[in-house]
Amino acid sequence: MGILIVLVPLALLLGFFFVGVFLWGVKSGQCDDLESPKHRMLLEKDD
Amino acid sequence: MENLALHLEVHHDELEQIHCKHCGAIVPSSRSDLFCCSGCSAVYRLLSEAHLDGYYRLRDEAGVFRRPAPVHPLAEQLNSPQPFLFLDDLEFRSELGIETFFPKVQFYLEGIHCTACLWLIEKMPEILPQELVSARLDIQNSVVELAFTENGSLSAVATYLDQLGYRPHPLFTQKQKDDLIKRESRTMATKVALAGALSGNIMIFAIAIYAGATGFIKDHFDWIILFLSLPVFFYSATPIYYNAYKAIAHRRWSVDIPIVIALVAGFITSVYSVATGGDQNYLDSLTGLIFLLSGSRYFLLRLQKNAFDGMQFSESFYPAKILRNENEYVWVKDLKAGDVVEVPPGLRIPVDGMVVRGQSHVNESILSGESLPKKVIEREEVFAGAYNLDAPLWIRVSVSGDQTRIGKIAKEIQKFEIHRNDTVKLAEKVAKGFTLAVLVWSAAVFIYFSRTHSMFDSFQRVLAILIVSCPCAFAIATPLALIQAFQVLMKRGVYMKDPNEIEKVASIQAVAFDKTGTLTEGVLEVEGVEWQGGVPSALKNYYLGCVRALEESSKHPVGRALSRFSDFTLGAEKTELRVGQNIEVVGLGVSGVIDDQRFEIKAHPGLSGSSIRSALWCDSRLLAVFSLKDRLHGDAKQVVDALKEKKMAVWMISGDLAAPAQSIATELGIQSERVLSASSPEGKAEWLAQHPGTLYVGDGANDGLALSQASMAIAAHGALDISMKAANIYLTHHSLKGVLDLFTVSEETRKILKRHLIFTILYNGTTITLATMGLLNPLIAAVLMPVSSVLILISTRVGTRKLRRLKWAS
Repeated sequence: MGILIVLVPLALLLGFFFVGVFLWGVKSGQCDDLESPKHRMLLEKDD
Repeated sequence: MENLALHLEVHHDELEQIHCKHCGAIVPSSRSDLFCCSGCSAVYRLLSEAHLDGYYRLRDEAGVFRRPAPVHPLAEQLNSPQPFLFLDDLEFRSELGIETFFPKVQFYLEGIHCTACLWLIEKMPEILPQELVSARLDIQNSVVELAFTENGSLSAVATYLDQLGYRPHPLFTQKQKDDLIKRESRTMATKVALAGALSGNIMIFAIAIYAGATGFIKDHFDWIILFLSLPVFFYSATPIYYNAYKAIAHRRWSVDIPIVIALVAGFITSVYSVATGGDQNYLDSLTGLIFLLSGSRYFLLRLQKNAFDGMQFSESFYPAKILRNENEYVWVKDLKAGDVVEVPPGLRIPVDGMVVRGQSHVNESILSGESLPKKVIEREEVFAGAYNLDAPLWIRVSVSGDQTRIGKIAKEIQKFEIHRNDTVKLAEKVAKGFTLAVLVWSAAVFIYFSRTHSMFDSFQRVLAILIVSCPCAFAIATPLALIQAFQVLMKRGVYMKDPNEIEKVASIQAVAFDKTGTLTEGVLEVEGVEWQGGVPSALKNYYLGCVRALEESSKHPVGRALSRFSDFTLGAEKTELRVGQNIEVVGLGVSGVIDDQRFEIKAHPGLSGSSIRSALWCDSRLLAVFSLKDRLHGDAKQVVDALKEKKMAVWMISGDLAAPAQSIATELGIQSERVLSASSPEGKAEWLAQHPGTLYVGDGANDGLALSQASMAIAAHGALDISMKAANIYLTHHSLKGVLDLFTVSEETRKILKRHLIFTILYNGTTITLATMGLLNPLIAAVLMPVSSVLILISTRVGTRKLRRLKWAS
């Protein structure tokens, strides 16, 4: 059970990290338009 | 490789109907190619030459997100291209905060309707690499953000977009408002996400405690849960507190009030419990509740961000610069009374004023609803917003900008946009009593039990009651029901700005329709021909051919109606008539010389009912009299009948004269006392203000004021942007049945919400009873809350499934 001393903070840290990533995504405007990417995905890119 | 479709000659079969290769509309028999109009064939050619015909393949394959595109209602009458040159003017740009180099501008595009459009628009930087760096389309709002190259020409790109069929409207003045909306939406997203992440993590720790952890682990996990819940209670839940506060301040009830009570009670109990090592930690359920609640509201909020907010009366920018006093170009806003401006044909008249030189026809439908062009000569008054059709006019300015009639109307509309949000929600009525009852009951319980049990025990019971009586399930399910209803309506072509208005339909008792353009098609059509005695039948087709030849290039509605009629009657017969000396006579007519005979088509006196009459003369001999009528909308009678069945009082308001209005009313079955004719825009608005509980359906800009005053307003298909701004609901299909769909969906949604309310009350009643009797174990209470939410969510899905399978009006 002593391992919890490591696991609990680790879990929390991981959680905060992903929340941080999400917030960054929101701030950079990725969540503003959720409709167009659905269509854009289906288009073929002729690179 | 040249595209074959451009060179095919088509013969029209009686049985087969040919569909336009570009837009899919039916090709009239007078055309020998595969397109319905020169616009479509032009776009097709453009795309072929740029090797972009992948557009058509995509459109047919992907085919998703088909949405009928709004079309400029005066497209037929206006042939001159819209000038975009003002976009290149650096002074103009700097005034509006656009960068000089590498400018970024947003445009609202008309006509976006599918994935292929997205592909085409975003391919533009490849087609015009000198001007564009990137193009990004928001398909839901029809807004494209264009990033230009260092010296990219805005007007070139705008013109190209126009030629492709996507008329662009620049969106700059809304920048601040847009930024605000964006920031609000992002903040909401952050709050919801934080609540979700934290409540999820809390549950990881809470599970351990539910599983029976004790001692060291339980104590510490309790504290961890407490700390994790703080941001949720003090940041993510703030909108809930704010709503409750606003409701109390306005002496209204809101479902947020009991929720806040539950949150506060729960928080206090839990903190106390953690601090004293007790068992009543409700924080996992409460944070979960906050997440679900704000999550469902966030999705509802996203739906409210609609295209019609982004649209503004942007056409007032055309022409931004105008020739004044014959020697200088000035901004429209710098014009002063007394200036004389020259307005070329094809543009909107930017001021209210008097004509000092020139003769032309103007289209004043924006103010009068009358789609027939009005002749203007010197010393006649013209109004801002009207389109100048034929020839340049020199106008002396009386007032400009906000002071013009249209400017005043636009301002009025903006004022009323804000006060729209007093919707009467079903929940308010019933649940108001419920909350009060719960509070009174809790007080009673407290007093009663404190006499026999300890203070602490009574307090615990009361807290359990408060927490468990939270109508959270209902609060979560309501936005979801509205979202479903909204999506169902959207599929039927009924666009709502605010889904909350769906409930408002229940309070509507009367429906008023605008006449021209809403109940009628707004397009003149030939009803019949009266050939004069003495005209040999053999020559009839020849004479019709003359009519066609004379009216071929006419922009006048009567001319176009005659042209269509002759096309239709003659079919594919091609005539090689050459017209000499073709003049468009001032008035309602044309004249010309064909085969050495002088033909004239002009207005025939005597209006009969709602018909206008036009006559064909040859060398001063009357050949035929055509009667033309504004055709009734195909659905109109059906919709009026259906509304009457629903016990709605149906009214008709028109800017037209009494006679034509009454005749249409009779045809539709609208009682003559319920017809208002010769109404000005201001008059219509006043009537609506005096008749609350009326749903108004209109289309012209002259309806803008009326739409903003009505309790509920629908802008019919083809409405100008000012009407779309004033109304909350917009019909994208060319059909009035959307009005019926609105009623149907609203009724069904209310049924679902009512069911939820009953469930909530029964459920809460039971749990409160148990809590009062002290039978409610805190653990069970904590679990019951999400369980009830899930039950109601399932009920919402099932209920709206029925909604989607409903039998529709069409």
